[in-house]
Amino acid sequence: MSLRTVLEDDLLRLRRSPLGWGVALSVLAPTAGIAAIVVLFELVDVGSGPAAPFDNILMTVGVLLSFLLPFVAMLGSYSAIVYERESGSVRFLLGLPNSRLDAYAGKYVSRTVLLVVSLFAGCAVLAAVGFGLLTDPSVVEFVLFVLATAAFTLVFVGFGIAISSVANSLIGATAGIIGTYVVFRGGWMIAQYAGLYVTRGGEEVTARPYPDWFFFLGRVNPLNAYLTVAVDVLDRGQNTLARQILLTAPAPEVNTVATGTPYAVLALLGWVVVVPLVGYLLFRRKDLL
Amino acid sequence: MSAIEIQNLTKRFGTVTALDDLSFSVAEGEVFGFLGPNGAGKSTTINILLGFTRPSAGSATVFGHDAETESKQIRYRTGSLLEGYGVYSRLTAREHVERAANAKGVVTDPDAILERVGIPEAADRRAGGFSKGMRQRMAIGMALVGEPDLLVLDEPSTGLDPNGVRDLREIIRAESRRGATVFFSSHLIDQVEAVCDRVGILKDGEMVTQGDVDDLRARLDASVLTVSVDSTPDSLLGSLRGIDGVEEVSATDRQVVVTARGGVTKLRALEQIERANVGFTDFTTTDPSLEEIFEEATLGALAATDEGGPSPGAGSSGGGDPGDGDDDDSGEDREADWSEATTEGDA
Repeated sequence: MSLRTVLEDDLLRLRRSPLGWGVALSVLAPTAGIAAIVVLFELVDVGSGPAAPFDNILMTVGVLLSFLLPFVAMLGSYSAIVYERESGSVRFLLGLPNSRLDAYAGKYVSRTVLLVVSLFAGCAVLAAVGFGLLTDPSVVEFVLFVLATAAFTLVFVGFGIAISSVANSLIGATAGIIGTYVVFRGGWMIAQYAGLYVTRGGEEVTARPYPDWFFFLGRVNPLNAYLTVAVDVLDRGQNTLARQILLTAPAPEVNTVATGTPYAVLALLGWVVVVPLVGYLLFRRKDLL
Repeated sequence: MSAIEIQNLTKRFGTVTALDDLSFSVAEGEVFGFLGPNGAGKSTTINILLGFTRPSAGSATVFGHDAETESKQIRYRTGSLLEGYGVYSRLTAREHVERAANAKGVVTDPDAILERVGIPEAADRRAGGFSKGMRQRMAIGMALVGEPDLLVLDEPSTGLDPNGVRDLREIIRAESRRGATVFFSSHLIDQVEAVCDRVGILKDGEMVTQGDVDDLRARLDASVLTVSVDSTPDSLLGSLRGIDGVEEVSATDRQVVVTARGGVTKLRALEQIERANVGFTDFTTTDPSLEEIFEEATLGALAATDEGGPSPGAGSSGGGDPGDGDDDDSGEDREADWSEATTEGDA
């Protein structure tokens, strides 16, 4: 019952807080918002030709979400525990018979509900537009895309909660989520090329083909893993422009395991499980006051 | 069984030792006053008891449950009011009390609780707009939910006006009559003296003395003898100062005030005054207050004479309490931080 109590309380406070609504709108904007823009374009261009393929719209949404969701998901979760410590309300949260697991899991589920329900709501609007107005829609592709995006969201809710549970101040937690975003957005790639520099020497850094480990490492990054899954689901085996732009093209001799969908799915699921688990193990032993 | 049993408890924050081999117990049904100067380690002790902070060594149990591994069971039976708490600014007073009841799995009447703590009119108001005193009353109400077997109160009179302090005393007495154990931590000695059966005085992370207030008075053994006379010649004052056991002698025009240890010393002083033929009319004696006992204990005179014997820890005791901060001078600062924080939102 305690986990449920924490969950319900947190959801109630999110419902009454600007943060909760702000996060929900930030997820709705690149999903339902894009759907609304598509409807506007279709109304303006009515009769001028076939409607756009639904997959293209989903790809656009996926690219937008790959940039926005990590930060929005962490923004929606990074304060969950550390704020209670900083404001003092943790003395109620854990002075009552809630275990640390209740508190941690309750907050994790609460913030997941906020993000994922917002995502599903946005995707529902997208589906209405896609299946009603656009061409060549596929239910399977759409469902797989939404599931991959939900898993991608969970990864960063996990990071937010884990950072919130180990940080000692809101400022520290803020630095933590910014640092996490920077690492995955740019630092990861720098590490990959630094690895090439170390193993190959300065002049050979960008020489193709890249070694297998470059792709094994690169596609563990949840941002790359998500894009790999999204592109694989939506481009139907075609070497679309999206694939060429978003993903480093492997040479034919590169290990296909590293660049395949199953590896990316596994990477995403790994982050989904490992990050909140590590966060909890650190939180469990931490002095909170 | 003891309600609280603390054995050789040590807590270090980096190089600072906040609790140094602390041992004491609180019996079931007892109202125990936990005294100590700022930074003595009172809040660190409470934080360990309730599972917020992990001990470096030693153990703490509440009703036989280990504070480190069975904290949830402890908190089912405990109502706590901890200094430095923050309210959920977007929840109403009723929702706060309901939240406590839900967490404890008990059915309660929030309105009756809020009535008891004197804020029935605030039931549907969000706590973010409460005054300090209202927040404190609401927090006391939350601590009372479910008729806990143990009440842990850390500086519970913070923010309360005199009426609130009186109400708090009544609540503590009522809870004690119900059979609850009360662990009352404070640096406000008069409040502890008003409600507690027994006190323990903590200094630099060590228990310097503990016992019934009367026992401590007797152990301190210094009381004030005030004698009314017609005159106070210097020769009399000099002879009084010469009596073994007399610590201090002062005089006004018609009164001699003698601070003395032991009844025999006071008797000799009275005899000396009588023999001086200075117009003896009356005398009174005053036992030491708990405040004097506190001063004696924390300044060293009463140290290591408690009923549990001297604390065996030696050497590097802390004098700091970086982990809690609840009983240090930063209380006001943190209150300000908290007030500011609670206006910003809950999420």
